[in-house]
Amino acid sequence: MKTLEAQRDRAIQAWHELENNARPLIYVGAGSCGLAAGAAEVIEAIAGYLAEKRIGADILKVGCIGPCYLEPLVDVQMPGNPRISYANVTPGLVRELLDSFFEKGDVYQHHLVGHFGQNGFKGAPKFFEHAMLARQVRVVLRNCGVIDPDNVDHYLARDGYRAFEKCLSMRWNDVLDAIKNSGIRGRGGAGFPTWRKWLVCRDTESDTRYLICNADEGDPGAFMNRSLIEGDPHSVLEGMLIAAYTIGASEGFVYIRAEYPLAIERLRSAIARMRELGLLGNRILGSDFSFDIKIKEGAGAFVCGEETALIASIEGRRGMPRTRPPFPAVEGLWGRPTIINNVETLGTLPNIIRNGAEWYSQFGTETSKGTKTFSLVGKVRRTGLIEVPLGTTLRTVIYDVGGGSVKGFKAVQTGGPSGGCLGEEFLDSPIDYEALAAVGSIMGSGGLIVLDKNTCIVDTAKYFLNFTQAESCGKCVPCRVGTRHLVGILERISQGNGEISDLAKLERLALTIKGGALCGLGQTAPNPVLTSLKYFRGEFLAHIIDKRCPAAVCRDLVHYRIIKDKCTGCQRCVKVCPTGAITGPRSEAHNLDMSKCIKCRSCYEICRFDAIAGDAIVIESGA
Amino acid sequence: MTPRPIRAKDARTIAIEIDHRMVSCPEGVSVLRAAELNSIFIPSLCSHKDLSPFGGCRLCVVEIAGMRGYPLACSTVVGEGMKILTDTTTLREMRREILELILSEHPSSCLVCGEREACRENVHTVRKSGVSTGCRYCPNDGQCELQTLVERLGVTEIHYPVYYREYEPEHEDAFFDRDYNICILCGRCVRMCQEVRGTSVLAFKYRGPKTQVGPAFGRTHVEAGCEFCGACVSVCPTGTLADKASKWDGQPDGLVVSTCPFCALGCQIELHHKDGRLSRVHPHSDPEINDGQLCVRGRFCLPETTHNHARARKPVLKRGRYLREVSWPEALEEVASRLENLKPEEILMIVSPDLTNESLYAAQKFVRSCLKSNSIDSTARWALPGGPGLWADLFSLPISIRSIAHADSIIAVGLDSRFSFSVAGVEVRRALKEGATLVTIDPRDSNLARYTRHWLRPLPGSEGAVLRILAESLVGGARKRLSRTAVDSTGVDKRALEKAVEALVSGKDLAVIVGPTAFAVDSNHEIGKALLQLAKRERTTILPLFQGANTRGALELGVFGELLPGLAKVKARGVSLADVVEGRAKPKVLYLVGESPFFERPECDYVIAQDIYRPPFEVDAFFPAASFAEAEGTLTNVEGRVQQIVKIEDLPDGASTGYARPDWFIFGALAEKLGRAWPPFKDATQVLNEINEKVASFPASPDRRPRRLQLTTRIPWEKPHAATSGPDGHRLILEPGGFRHRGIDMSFAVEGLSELALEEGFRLHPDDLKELGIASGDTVVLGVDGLDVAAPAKADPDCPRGAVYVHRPFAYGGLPHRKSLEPLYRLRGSLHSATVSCSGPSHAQTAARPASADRNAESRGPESYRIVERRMIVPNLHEFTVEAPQVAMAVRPGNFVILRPDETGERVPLSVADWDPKAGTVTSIFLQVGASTAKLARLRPGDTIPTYAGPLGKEAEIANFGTVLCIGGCYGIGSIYPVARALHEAGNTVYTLLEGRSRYLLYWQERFRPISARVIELTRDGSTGYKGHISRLAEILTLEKINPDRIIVNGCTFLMMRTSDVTRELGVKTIVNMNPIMIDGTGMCGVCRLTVAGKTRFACVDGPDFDGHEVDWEEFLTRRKTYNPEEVQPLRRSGCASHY
Repeated sequence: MKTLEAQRDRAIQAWHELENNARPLIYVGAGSCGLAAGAAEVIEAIAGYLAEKRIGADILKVGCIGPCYLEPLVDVQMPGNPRISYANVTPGLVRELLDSFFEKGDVYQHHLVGHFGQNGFKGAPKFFEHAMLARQVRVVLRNCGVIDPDNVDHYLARDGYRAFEKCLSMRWNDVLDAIKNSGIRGRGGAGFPTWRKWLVCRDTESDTRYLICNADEGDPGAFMNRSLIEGDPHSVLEGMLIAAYTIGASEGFVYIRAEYPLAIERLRSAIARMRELGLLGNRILGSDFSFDIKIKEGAGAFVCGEETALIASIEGRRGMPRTRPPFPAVEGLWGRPTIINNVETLGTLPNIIRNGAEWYSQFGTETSKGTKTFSLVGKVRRTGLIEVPLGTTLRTVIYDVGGGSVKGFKAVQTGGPSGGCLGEEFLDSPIDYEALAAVGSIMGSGGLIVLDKNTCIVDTAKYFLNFTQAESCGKCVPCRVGTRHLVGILERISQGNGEISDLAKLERLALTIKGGALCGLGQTAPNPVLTSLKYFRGEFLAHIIDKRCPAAVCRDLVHYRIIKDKCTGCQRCVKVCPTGAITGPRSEAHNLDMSKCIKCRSCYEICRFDAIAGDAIVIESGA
Repeated sequence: MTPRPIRAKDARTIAIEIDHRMVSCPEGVSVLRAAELNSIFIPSLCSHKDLSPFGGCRLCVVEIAGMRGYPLACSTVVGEGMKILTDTTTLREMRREILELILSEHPSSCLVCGEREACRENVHTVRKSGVSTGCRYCPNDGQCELQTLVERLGVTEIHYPVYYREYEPEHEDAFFDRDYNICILCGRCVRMCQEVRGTSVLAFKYRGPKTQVGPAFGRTHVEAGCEFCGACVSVCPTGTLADKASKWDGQPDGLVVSTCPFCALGCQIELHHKDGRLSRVHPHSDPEINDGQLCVRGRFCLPETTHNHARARKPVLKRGRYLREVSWPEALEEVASRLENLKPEEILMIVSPDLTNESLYAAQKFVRSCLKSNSIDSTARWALPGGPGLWADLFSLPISIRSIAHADSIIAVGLDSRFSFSVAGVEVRRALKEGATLVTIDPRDSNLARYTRHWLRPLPGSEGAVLRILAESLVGGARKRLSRTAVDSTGVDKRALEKAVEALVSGKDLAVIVGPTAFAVDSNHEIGKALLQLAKRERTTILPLFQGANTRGALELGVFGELLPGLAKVKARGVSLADVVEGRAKPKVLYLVGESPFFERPECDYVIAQDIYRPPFEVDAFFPAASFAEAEGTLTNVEGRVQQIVKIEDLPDGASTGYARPDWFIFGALAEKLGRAWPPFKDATQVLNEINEKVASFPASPDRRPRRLQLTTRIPWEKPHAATSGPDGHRLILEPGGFRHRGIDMSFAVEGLSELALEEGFRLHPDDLKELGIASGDTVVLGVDGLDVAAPAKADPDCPRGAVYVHRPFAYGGLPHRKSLEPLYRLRGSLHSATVSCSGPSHAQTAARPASADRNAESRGPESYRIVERRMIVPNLHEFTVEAPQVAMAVRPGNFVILRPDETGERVPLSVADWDPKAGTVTSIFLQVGASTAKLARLRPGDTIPTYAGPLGKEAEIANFGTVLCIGGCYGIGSIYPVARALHEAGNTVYTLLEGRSRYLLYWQERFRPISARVIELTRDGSTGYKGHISRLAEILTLEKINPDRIIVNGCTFLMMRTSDVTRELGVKTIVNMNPIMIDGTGMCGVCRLTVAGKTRFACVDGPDFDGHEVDWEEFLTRRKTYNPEEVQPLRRSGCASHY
């Protein structure tokens, strides 16, 4: 059998050279989050600077390292110095930043996040001791932001494909045992033990078996899978090799949404590298194992994340779920046994094989082992991609990692549109499959959306339901029609036309959908309504009985008022008002004509005259 | 495991427990099927026995011990000892809830209306509407699975708002209408189209609440390759998909199984009858031939063919210059006198291959024994290139339709199965689904060529040569190298041919299908030879397809002069059809039986025609023959099965039903008149018995077993026609085509078919046309064999380059330009060389004028009225504004107008809803409810109508009454508006009550508000305003604190009657508007007669307003129902209101 040892040795050599570099090295976070924040322009500015100054330095484009709210992150590693990370770097800042290093030979002190060194460095904090990162355990994300995702040598240097090579020397059932002992459960949301699904597939007699990597990440606000593929595609692909070897699959697919162009590009190039290394194709590394991977781009229907719909989509049919059983592990793609694993599950596998099942199962709780990545978003100070051991409490994640909400924490939506809305009383419950299910929510694929006091629960539920009803494939009645009526009732409530009987109607309908819908999309769609009804009933009642929106969000229930005593007549609101509803001369308290007001909230957002106390423009809710 | 339909009888039986009862069922079936087999009802709307489980409707939820949640009965496979509960409280509750959800997406107010029984009884005319807005407006009323289920599960209320999708109903295709507003998305049609038909024309489109069924990517059905087989229509549980022709017939009285008389496949069909007449045709699930599938002709064209108004139903004789309808004895007498004393060569009888075996046999018996002549011939000869000898040989081979589906390799030659022989196409696709290899040999692109990886595209006429090469390779034993020269001459790529051979040799079961065009152009009998050779291979079946339903019978039963029944040869063969056509013989008398193979009257003394339609030229005598629906008989299909045709219409002779007789019966009657010996045949069975005596291999009674022809002596093949070939001309292919039956092109009788006859004219590849500088539609002149023939050219991308395709129909008449093609039909052989040139200026550069402009120019008379606006304001109700200044000047509230939608249309009275004297326009609201309003609903702004007379009728009584309640329903919301406005202006306090079944049927609220003290809404489903029917009026008046001095109500008669009932008790004077019952509008026709206060009154001149308490409603409603069946007639007949 061939091995990758020689290649890996060369890679490690190169990696060491890079780490102990003779040339200055500049890292730029160039995942989608970084690019969205302007990383491309920053890179251009850096390149321009280096060219102008004729400085021989390397720019390394890495994936997302986590704190997306700090993007674009630019790290500078001067020869002999550790890598030092700077946040929110703009093109305009580049010159000052780099001048400090290259002209003055100083460590730039502004925008400083931390350094990557082992020991202290000139008083700068350690990067991984940053508040957002301190409580995290990076298993699946260990390479993200560290290596160049397009450079397979970087991956090899960090023990890449070692796990797969180890598998090749094992029997498939030994690999399965390792996965079983690690206790890992599907990271796509349902949390089914990975090994059990695999065993069913392996035990089903067939000439062909398929493996599908589900990268159809569709939850609003979720980006874990995208970031992982963008930052470390080979870890996912190695995971696919391990899974395919274990279940005996000969062909693999990555089903990824076309809205992830960067991730697709990274995958394509990674697959090409694998082919060069002989990691795909016939008799991989001289073993009996043959496997190949194709990329299948999905057109972005949310329901295509459901496994039977996903299979239909690959087969060229309409992405529409079918009833199970038969489960895909028995009758899947083209009627053959098929395993569908989430990106994160697959990305974790090499770590388990390399470090052993026991190492992995040290993280997590009794029933939920390991670590889990989350997209921490919404009304929280520090947003981004995080990875914590399962069993970590919501409080730790939201307050320690996320830094809490500016305007006061109200609730957290776990599991995206299929999950539930949990309030303050659940902050100390651990994040694991069972605990979340017990309170009516789900783990989901890892979206965590934090809501603050300025967020209306009815409005949020309506938002999620609107999403699921529009994304329903339309096949089964409870999902297609039921969710539409849920939206209708919520709409009525948010308009102040709700009746007390609507709450019972919502619950009845939600339970019908939950029990009657065909697939996971429909069965979980009412979760946001059910949990918010359960934990935030008061807020619903306020809408229905008092015709008041406590968070002052529901447009039909709020009106705007200028507090004459506080208004300084600064005219900012006059300028921003699109309908001319606010009038008044400079330096005099303004007038708001409610008949013209369209409740666009612009004045409220712009009014910052809190010289006395609070805003001069307030939103009030209620009749 | 996915449950599969179990057909095998030997499936193991297992025991299960359903609802605490031990029952047994075959292994592997679904829980739903197991329950059904044990007569246990589980509701379901999306499951269907022929289709895969879908799991969309969610109604078949059950509880199964040991299974989580509520599994679906349709998709769960039974297991030994399974314990199933089908009817628990939870399940009942869930089902009701789900059904309510379905109803909230379906116009179902009729289902939850408390007045539905009375409404069904009294409101009759609403069915026939353009858009289904409730059960009473739905063609499927009474046959709807959803309706049945709602009643069975006892849903009487919908707790959710009702959504109406507001799609435009699709009426544009020829054979069925689609109204996706009432679709419940059960997906049966989609699965039928994809799984069973293998065509995938239908799919689900869009998602979420916008999900809809239809061809993907915005294509029309025609563009998407729809075969119009109607399989989707047959499985639709609601009225979403409905046959155009029979949709308003209601539930049929019953059905009988018969044989389709349109082609030699002999599909088994279910004839649905209503009031003694054929209403519609469904496929029969006969596993031998069509297995529940049909083509467009069998599914949709039979009723029209037999019921068309142009059917000739009475004997006719020519008397001087005129044709006179005469009695049978008189007609027989004269024809007998003409047939007496004729020499054998002075008569020629021409017989259609579409006749029954009995009639074919009787025809030849009549000629040979009564007229002592062998001058009988059949147009079947045209369908059998190579002559009876070749076909007798082919019919001796193993021929099988069903073998196609089981074959693992198929060769299809020259066949497009879209509209003809489409059942064979279904079988091919069924085999492909199981992994069969298909090799298509066709110069033209076809629906079968689209499914194959091995499309061999030879030069037209070389199909046979290619098939021979394949035959050599498959039968010859050792693999031979393909001869390059042989391959080159066919124009097929050698590599492609080799690959095709490679794909075929590994197959075991081979099926070879050859279409009629391939036979026609096969100038050297290559196909015949190849088929004989292929048949030597084991496990090979063939399927030769040709035009004519009973060509096989014609061959066996002696209607070719030279062959007696049983294919015995005759020495003196008599005169043949070719002799006459080519001028070699001129018989004195021509007797055309079910066939008119001439465009003009042929030269002879006396022409007798016997058919179901009159021929397109003058004849001396005409005998009305019974159609397939009116007489019994048998047809022999291509496999030799002798199959029954059932007499379904047995109506007594009469002015409207006619005096048609079976063909065999007419020959007997003539024989009697001639005084010749003729067995006393009482029915077709006796004729068949005699056939059995004369032809040993023929069964004595219908026998559906396939029957290979047993030849005692070989009949020589006819000499082939050498193809004419020019130096550089186009290849002209005269292909058998058209939709023929008994000498007529059915597109003449069935208008929809003419829309499918897209191929009429000269068809050339678009690039060829471009090179010649000809636009599609230009008239081109074809030079062939010294003839110049002009006809329109049509760009057809399916054609190969350098070829011209044109139909040589076996039927004459029909489409207008056919006649100009006549010279071509006389050419011998079907493959010729021709030159193509453009006649006159090409339209290639000039833009086509819009068709609507032409239509306007034609219809705009001196006194025509322009449509200013015509739009559907709510489903089925149209706002209709016409430019009519005189009317607009004079009209008063309560008046009506009379209009006609076109010159031939009936008079339609419409109440006036608004007018503008300045603009000179008058607005009405009309309900689309029958043929005339359907015509109105097709008008567009700018179109004109010929008649718009008014104002008519007495104006409404306007005075200050105090408080007035105006009630409007349906179109009456519009018509009461001017009355309410006038009353308001006269100082009354006006309350308005708008009544409708659901909120989406109410309109004009904003017009009523300024003139009303309050606008009250009342809907049956409570979707807006009060919930219920007008019988709640007293209660509503109390709640609203209204004390009316007078009530005026406009709307359907049922609403007005019910209102009067209520107000009689309240003692409030109630005025009703009887406009909806008028026709003539001048007091002449008397249709709007009614008894008011004991006196006879006419709504049009004495009304339309009457005191509702004085109207004799009972008498009125009885009279209203008199013409129900007649009202449906014009909607059924295509060519009239076929598009609505």
